[in-house]
Amino acid sequence: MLKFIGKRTVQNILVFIVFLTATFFLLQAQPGDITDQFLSNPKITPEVRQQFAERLGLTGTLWEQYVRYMKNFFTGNLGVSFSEYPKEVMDIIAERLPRTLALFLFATFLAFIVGFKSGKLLAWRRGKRGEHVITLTGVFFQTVFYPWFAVVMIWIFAFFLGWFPAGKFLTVDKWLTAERTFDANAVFDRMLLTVLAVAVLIIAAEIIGRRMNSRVAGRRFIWGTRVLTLIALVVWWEAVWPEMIPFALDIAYHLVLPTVTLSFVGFGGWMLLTRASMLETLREDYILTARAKGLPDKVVRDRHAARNALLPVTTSLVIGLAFLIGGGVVTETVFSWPGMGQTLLSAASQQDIPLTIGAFAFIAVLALIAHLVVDIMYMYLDPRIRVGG
Amino acid sequence: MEHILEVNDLTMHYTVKEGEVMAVDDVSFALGRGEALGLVGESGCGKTSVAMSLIRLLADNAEIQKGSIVLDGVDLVPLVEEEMRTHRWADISMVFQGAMNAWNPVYKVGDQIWEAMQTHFPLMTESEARERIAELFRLVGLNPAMMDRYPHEFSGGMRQRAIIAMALSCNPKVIIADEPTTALDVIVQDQILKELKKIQQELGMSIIYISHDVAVIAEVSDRIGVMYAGKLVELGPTDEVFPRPRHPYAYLLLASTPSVKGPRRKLAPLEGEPPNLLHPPAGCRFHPRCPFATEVCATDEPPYTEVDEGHIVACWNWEQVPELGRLEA
Repeated sequence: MLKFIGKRTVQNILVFIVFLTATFFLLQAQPGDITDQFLSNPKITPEVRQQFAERLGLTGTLWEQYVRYMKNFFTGNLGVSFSEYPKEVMDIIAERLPRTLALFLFATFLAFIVGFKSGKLLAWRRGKRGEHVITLTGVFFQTVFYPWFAVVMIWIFAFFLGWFPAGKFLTVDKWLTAERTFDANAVFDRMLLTVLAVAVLIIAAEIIGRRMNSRVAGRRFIWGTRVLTLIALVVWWEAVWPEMIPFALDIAYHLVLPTVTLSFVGFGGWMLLTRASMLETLREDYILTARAKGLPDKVVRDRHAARNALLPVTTSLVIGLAFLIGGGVVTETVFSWPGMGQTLLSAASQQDIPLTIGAFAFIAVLALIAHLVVDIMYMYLDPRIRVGG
Repeated sequence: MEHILEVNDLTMHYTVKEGEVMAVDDVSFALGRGEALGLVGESGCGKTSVAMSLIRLLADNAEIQKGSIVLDGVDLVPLVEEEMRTHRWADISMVFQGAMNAWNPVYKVGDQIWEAMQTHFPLMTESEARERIAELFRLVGLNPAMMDRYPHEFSGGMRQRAIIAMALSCNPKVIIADEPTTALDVIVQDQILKELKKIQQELGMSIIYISHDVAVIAEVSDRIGVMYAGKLVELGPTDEVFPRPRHPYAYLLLASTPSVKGPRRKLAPLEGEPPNLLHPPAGCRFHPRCPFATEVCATDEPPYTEVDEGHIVACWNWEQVPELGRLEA
């Protein structure tokens, strides 16, 4: 297991270097550089422009620039953003990456859970009432033109019904007028840490509960932990960060609509995939064995059919994650969500090379980590590929 | 002999777009306590449909139209699904064909056996179950340590042995062995059959063997039932039917199978295919392929005739059927 992770990590580092190199040269292949925007400014002479270019590290041969960049990158120096000068690229990413990560992890999680469960039921109840309507809904979400759908969602829920804000990360007035000693990132980071802690606790409880000898005791343990975790969460915030609660709720409120929209789009794919996978599994001999053993229908469905149907669905989780990260640009633009997608778009269009590469690099790291996680998950799910590694 | 299972006039149809497929038609037989009954016939003649009707695991488009399946005094046909569920495995279990996919690949073999026991004996503890599984593994010739392995770590023969262990796990009254050795090579096949027979005699199990392979059935069964096109055409003790079949189909089936142990005889081919059960031939369903067919065969269904004690045959011309090896080819 460790050997496998080690091997994959080395592979991933190599892939990452190739990716970084390709990104660097592709961006350099654009004509001109950021100093071109001063061309129309008569006060800036060519000499001054040259000075700018030198200070930004845009002089020298391409090869020299590449070697310099890679050296800096791997010593932890990602440079300074051109377009948001003089902010460090690292600081910009540290500020915006969590926002993107939160949005996409919540959305993927939600879409996966709902999609998997409904796909499972859809296959199990094949030929029953409502099947066509639900399948068609899935096909709609799977194929809908996403930017249009996002705008429609904003129109319905933000404009027409007025339930949610139309975009942005927080309510600006509320934050500006309030007396406070903290900024939005501090609140948001604490929210993410809370979610992470809750997730770890719940997953740990699930694993321990399933290993328990008696199923009833296991289920009680799992539910007990869930309830206790929620109580602990409320108590902790009330006790430690009481002044932040209204602001945290404000951010959470802004998170709802983009998360829901994004998960709707993902949900259709997961549901259709699970349905197909489950229909295939239901034809397997071991399903007949399970039924012949006199197991209750629910056990046959969940423990035998759905458990095996999960395998191909997990594989495509990788592809789904890649899509979600790419789709980030669209989502964040439509919802004015100040995350990595928006940063990437504006940096690239302004020829802000350090920030663009930095943003790409972190998206690549995320994608590679996601792959590794899914690989490990797959090993856990399928005993047949556990041996050998 | 006391009967553990009585099947009377069992009729099961599949409904397809084109109409009704009569997969099992008026089949009656009884299984004595501790007896091994073999059902033999070509593919598609309803053997597996009988098995699936007995344990009531039929496809959605299948329906038992009439008849009764009385297992130890309880008729299984009218039971609702939830009641039937409690009888499965606890009272009637199965050794499936194709040991390959009968195991769920993601769970340990021992856990899959325990699952069955847990369902039917909820009070059993894990250590009791492990002890019982170890005992069963020894009985079928497996190392008890294998219970903590996954199915893909078993060879084909080992999987089949483990399947037998699982079928025995809840002490069922009747076991149905549907092509128990078909997926295995001949040597392993022989070992498994001997093992099954030994276990059956040791435990006094009542078992129904189902196979297309006459040699397999002959080796393990006390009685043989020959099925053709959804009908039971001949039923009798193995040592009567095997050397001297009375139904033309049984005769041709045996005559087309070489016998290694018995006297050398001429092989006769069994030509044609079983009929499409959507539109079975009128009269005797075998008459289009039957060398002994007469006019009456095409119009009237033959009744059962008792040719000997406990040996029945459904044929108008059973007296014409010669001894094996005497047919002019």
